[in-house]
Amino acid sequence: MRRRIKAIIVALLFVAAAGAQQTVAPTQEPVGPVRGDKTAEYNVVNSIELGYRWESVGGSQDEYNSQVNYGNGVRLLSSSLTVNSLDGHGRFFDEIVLTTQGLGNDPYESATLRVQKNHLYRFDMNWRLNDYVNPGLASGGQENGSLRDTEYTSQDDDLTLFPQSKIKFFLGYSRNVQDGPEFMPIGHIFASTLASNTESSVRDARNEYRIGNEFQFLGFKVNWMHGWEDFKEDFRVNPQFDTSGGAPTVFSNPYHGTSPYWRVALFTDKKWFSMNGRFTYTGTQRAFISQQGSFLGGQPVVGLQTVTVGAGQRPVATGNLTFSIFPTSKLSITNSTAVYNVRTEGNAEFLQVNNATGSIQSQNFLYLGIRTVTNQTDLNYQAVKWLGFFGGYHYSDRFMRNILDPSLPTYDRTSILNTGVFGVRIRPVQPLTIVLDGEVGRANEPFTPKSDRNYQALNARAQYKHKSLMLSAYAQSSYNNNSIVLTSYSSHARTYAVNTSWTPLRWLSFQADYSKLHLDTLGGLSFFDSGNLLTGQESLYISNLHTGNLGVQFTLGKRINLYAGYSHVQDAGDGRSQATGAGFGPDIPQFQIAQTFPMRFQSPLARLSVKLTNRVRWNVGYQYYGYHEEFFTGQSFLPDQAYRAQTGYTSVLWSF
Amino acid sequence: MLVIAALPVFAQKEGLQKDATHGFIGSDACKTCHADVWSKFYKNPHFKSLASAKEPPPERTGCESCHGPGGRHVEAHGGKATIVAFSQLEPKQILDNCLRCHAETLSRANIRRSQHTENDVVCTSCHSIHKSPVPKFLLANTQRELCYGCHADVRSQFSMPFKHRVNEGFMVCTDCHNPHGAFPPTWRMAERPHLMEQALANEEPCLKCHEEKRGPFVFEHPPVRVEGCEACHYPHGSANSRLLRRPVVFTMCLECHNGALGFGRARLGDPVPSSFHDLRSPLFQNCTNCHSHIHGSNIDAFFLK
Repeated sequence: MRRRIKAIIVALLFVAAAGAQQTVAPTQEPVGPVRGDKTAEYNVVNSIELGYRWESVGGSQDEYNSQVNYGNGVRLLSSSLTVNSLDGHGRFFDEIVLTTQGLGNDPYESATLRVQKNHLYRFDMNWRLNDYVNPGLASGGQENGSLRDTEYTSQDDDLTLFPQSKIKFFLGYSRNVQDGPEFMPIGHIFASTLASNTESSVRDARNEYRIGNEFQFLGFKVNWMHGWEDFKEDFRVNPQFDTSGGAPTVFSNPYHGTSPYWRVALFTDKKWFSMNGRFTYTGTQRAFISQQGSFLGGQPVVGLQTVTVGAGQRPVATGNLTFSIFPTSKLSITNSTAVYNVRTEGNAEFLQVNNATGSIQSQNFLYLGIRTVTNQTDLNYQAVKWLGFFGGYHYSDRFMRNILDPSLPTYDRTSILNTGVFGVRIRPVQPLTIVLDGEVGRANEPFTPKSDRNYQALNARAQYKHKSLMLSAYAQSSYNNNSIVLTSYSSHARTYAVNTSWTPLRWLSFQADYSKLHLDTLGGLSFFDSGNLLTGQESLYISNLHTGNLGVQFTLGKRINLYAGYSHVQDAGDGRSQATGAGFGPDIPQFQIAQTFPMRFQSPLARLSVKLTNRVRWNVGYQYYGYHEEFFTGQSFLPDQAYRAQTGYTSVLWSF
Repeated sequence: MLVIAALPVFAQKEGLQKDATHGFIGSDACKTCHADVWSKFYKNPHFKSLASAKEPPPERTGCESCHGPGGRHVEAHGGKATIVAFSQLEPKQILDNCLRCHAETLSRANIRRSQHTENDVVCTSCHSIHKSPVPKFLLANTQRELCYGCHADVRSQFSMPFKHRVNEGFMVCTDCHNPHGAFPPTWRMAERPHLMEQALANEEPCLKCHEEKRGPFVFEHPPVRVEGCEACHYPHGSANSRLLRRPVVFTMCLECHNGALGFGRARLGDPVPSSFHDLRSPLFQNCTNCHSHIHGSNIDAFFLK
């Protein structure tokens, strides 16, 4: 028996540690096999990893912050607390699960909490923080004028009363906040490239309150929820001098509103049929006001003030109804119908006041109505133990009504999509599964030149899983042709991927995967070149992305764990050797450059973890990040966004 | 209705088979041989069924609620052939066994028609009932590693320089997907659904976090509302900044804004940039430099502010 327990523990350790593409910290290895202290009523398991993280960046710090963003300092890298009642009859609770990650200034922090008492209540909390940095970077050697350094926090709280009963009650609260400085252009930039950028602060806040209930009625479970989502965005540009005109600029643009909603769902699952329906109504309302002084449309006009006020509504009614029957144990037939109806409408007034004259002008809120009806019929048949089929026919009908101006005609358009799906499952031997499937669709009136019109998506997947060995291979092709008279669009995407994980020995496990993503897209272009309109032009974008991940885990003796991993992403581009060479389409350097984007992103890492005692483990790790843009790194005439970052950490993991 | 009414006649019995001779014997008998499982079972969510002593015994209580009557198993001194051993079951049998209790949850209302079920990915493909290394949901591994195990292409997307922070632990796959099967989507034209978990008002799940993009706006950028975020962004990860589909912004915009008739709100085509947009000038190659509110604006028809 002891041997079995030991084997399970070792297996779990490997499972937890073998995953590739990790960040180097927090440490994945648990301290020891046996954990937990028992009191009279509860078992308590605790784990705390406290450490110091460091980074050193050469090259573009902005790009590093945008992609990785780990900094220096002491962190509570991770923690976990579980408390379980021994008999399932705790006085106030039967289970507490608390986990945290990155607390203390990591850019990605989270905490989750579950507290529950059997049959009485269950409370779940999920809190997250993301230190988001986007320094206005754009790939391909370009520079973007919109910079942002915000902190995004999200919290969800859900309380369920009587979670195992036939009548349940739900209470919930969610809050998202994005807050921080922003640097963005307001208006046109005629005078200079980035001179009109304006420092601003943005604060988005969403609060959602919900209440609901679930009960049984005539053999159906009925679940309803009523909620209110309040949203507000307070955007303010700090006064400063517009360098193009020398006039002080003031601009504020608060945007507040609420979205009360109802959701009713009913479902049942019987031996020979299942049925569910879901119906929602959301009545979004938003009110806004914009006040701007001193310039209009980016062109300074001293003394001019502009105010825009208005309110918008977007009522959305949706419905889903799904009915499945199981005539035999081998066959299931499902029909689903979904309806989506949305209107976007409202009113707005544009007020323009200057020292000499005042004028008021109403703006037309562009009406957009969409009604989509989708019906899907699917069949799933297991012919024999090792062979199964599935397929279906999907129909989608989307009606759109557009009113761009009340004095103009209403623009209506109806798009219809017919789709066939099919697939086959083969399991020649127990551990091997092969699935081939595909989808072919035809749309009569796609909305944009890039939308799906004549498309096909074919997938093949094979997986072999036996004990600790897992091998899988995946291939996918997705083609779309939306060419019409005078313009063309076709897109070919192909993906090939292989993946393996294996624990051949008790002290060795590894995981490796490779994938290739090919994309070539031909698009029709029309644009102005030095004042001349060029039509019938074409662009061809080619990407050949190779991605590989490797992770190896060694256990040396009883105390030492060593993990080494490597991640490599490389876009080989279209094979050209220089940015402006061998291009296709317009003979303009900027178009040639934009047709491909060879780049390299790599990240090797290593982690050493030493078990000091049965409750304490010491860890140290190193991770390198390197980013390189083939045609732009080292070029003096373009912003160099490459970087090399050394990061690492050391920590102590204490568990009991 | 007659056809539907006749269907149960053809229905076949599956899952647990009650045996009058070798019936249920209670979970205490299991402790003797399976002490390793029993010693930790009080931490298992299924322990509730034993602790309450209110569930209808024995079909929904303790070990036999999943593994069936243990009488024959005890008499035979063990063996996988004498009890419901999940490692020996067909995928559909596993699903049926678990759904006897777990079907009664809204999030699993579509499990029988989900793409995972169609591909023989059932409960025990992702959940480890007795050996779960994670504290919640009895998952067989961390959530991302479970998903990556089959979806190697998705793993590669999250390895890109720009990505949603799943590998960093900030997000999980189920923030956007419902692995148990989702309601049919209602955005775009409902083609190629990927088990997406709808946001408020059956919208794309992106809007659960990026709520400032929801609107309504006086001036909507119609593709955002009609075609969804994926028209311009890769949701998992991209080699391009801001998860864009192209490294250079103007090529992405011009692929739609080429004036081709038949597209857009009025079928007049998405307008070609006006004549002062000289594409040779760096000033006009990054469209969002000026059109900064590209997802929608209340005050400017060209999304300039």
